[in-house]
Amino acid sequence: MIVVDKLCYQSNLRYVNPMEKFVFSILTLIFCVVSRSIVMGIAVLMLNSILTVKVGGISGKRYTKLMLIPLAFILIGTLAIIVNFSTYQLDAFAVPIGKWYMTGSWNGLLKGSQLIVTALAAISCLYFLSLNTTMTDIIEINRKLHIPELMIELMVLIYRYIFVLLDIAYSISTAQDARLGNRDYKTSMKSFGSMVQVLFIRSMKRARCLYDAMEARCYEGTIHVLSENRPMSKKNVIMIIIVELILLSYTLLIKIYGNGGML
Amino acid sequence: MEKDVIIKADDIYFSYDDAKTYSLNGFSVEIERGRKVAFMGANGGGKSTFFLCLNGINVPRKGKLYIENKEMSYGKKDLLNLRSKVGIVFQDPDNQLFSASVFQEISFGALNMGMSEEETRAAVDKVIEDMEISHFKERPTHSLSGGQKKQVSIGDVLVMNPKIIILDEPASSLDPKHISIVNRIIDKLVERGITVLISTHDVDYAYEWADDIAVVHKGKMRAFGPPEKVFRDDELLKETNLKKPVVLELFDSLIHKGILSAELQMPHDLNTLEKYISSI
Repeated sequence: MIVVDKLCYQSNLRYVNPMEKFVFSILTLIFCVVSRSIVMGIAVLMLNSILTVKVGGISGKRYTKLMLIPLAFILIGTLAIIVNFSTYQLDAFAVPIGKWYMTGSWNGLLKGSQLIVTALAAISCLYFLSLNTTMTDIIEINRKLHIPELMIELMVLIYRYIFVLLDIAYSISTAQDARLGNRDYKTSMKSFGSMVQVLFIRSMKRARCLYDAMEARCYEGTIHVLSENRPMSKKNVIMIIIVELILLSYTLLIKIYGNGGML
Repeated sequence: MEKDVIIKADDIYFSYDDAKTYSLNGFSVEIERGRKVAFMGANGGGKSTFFLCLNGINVPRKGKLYIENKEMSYGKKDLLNLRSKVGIVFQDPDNQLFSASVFQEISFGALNMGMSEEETRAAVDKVIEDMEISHFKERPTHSLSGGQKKQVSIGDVLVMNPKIIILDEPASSLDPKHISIVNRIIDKLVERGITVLISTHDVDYAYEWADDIAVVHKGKMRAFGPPEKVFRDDELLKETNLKKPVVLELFDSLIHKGILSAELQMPHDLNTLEKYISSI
C-alpha cells in the first residue's frame, strides 16, 4: 500500500465525519493563504501537526519526513525571492562573488519567510485531510459537493487501479532485476521502456475484464455504491466553528489594520 | 419424474474474432436445478467463454441458450433480469473488485438491480456476516490478501441473491487455508439450493464435490455425467489430459492387488475408502 493510504486507515481520526475534516482543512487553508501571515501560518502548522500526530496517532518522525518533502521544493522555489545577484549590496546580507554580490534585503527575507510558512501551513492542512481521511471518504465528500459523477467514477477507478498497476510494475521490475535487467543505465532504460509497454497492454486488458465484471453485476453506465454513514459530532462542529472564527477574525484584522499582512 | 432443467445450451457457437475459429463449437449441455457441476478441461477449451455466455457478456453467434426454460434474449431489461439470476465470480478478483471499500464493493450489484438503499444496506450486512468478513468490511479492496479478495468477490455476487452462481477457478492462486474457506462458502451456497457451477483443474476436489462433471474439450461438451462415470472413462481422460482422482487410483490399485473386492461400490471420497480398508 502507498504510505499515505496506509496511514489514513491507521489514524485515530479515521472515523470522524469526513465533512467535518474537509471543512476544517479547507477553511483553515483558505484563511492561511488569504492572510499570508507568518503568525497564523505557524499557528496553523502547529495545530495541524498536533491534530495529526497527537490526536491522529501518526508517528512524529513520519509526519516530519512527509513535511520535509514539500519543504525542499518550497525552499528551492523561494530562493529566487530571497537571494539576488546584483552589482550593489542590499540591506540584509551580501556575499561578494567577483564583481557581483549574492545579496538579499530584509523585505525579501520577510516575504520569503512569509511564503515558506504560508505554503507549509497550507500543506499541513492538506496533510491533515489526506492522513486522516480515507479515499473512500474523500470520494464521498466529492459526491456531497455534487462533483460530476464521471469525475468521481474516474477517481474511484484510478484509485483502485493505481495499486493493481503498481503491483504489476513491482513484479515486472523484480523479474527484470533477477535477470540483470537494471545492470547499467542503458539496460535500465530499456527495461523501463518494456515495463511501461507491458503495463499499458495489461491495463487495457484489465479495463476490458473489469468492464465485463461490472456488466455481469448489472452495470449500466453509472457506478452506484452505498455511502458509509459517519455521524457528525456536536463537540467537533463547535470546536471547528470556534477555530475558524478566530482565524477569520485574525485574517480580517490583518487585512484591515495589519502591517501589509506580514505578521 | 420430469427433470427441472435450469440451464440448457443447445448447439451454441461463439467466436471472439473472425468467426473462423470458434471458442464454443457446437456446445450443448443441460443442467438441473440445485446441482453442483464441475467444469473441467484444458485452458482455452471454452469453459470461461461458456460462463460468460450464461451471464450475457458473450452473445453466441449460433445456437440457443435457455435459463429456467426461457430462451435468452439480450435486450436491456432481459439482461438485467438474467444477470440478477446468474452471478459470476471471476477467476482474478483484481479484475472484479473496483470500489474503495469492501462494504461499497458488495453494495454495487444490489443497487444496480434497483434495490433501495435500506434494502441494500441490510443485504450487504447479511452477506458480510454470512461470509464472516466483518473484520475487514471497511478496508480498501487493494489492501486485502488474495483469499480475502476472493471472499469479497463471492460476496459481490451473493448479495444479488442469484439462482445460479458460477465460480471460475475459485481456488486459483489461493493458499490451503483460503481454499478451505472458499470451499466452505461453496458448500453453503449448495445448502441454500443455489445451482453452483465451478471450473477447476483439481480432479480430487471435483470428484468428491460435484454431482456432475462437465468435460469441455475444444469448444464442445466432450462428456457430462456423474463423477463415477466420467472418471471411469480412461479414453476420455487420456484425450482431455485429465488425471484420475487419487481415491480412484488407490481403489483400483487395491482391487488389482486383491486387497479389496471388485464388487465394492466405487468410493466417493477417501473416508469411504478408509472404511473399506478398515473392514478387511
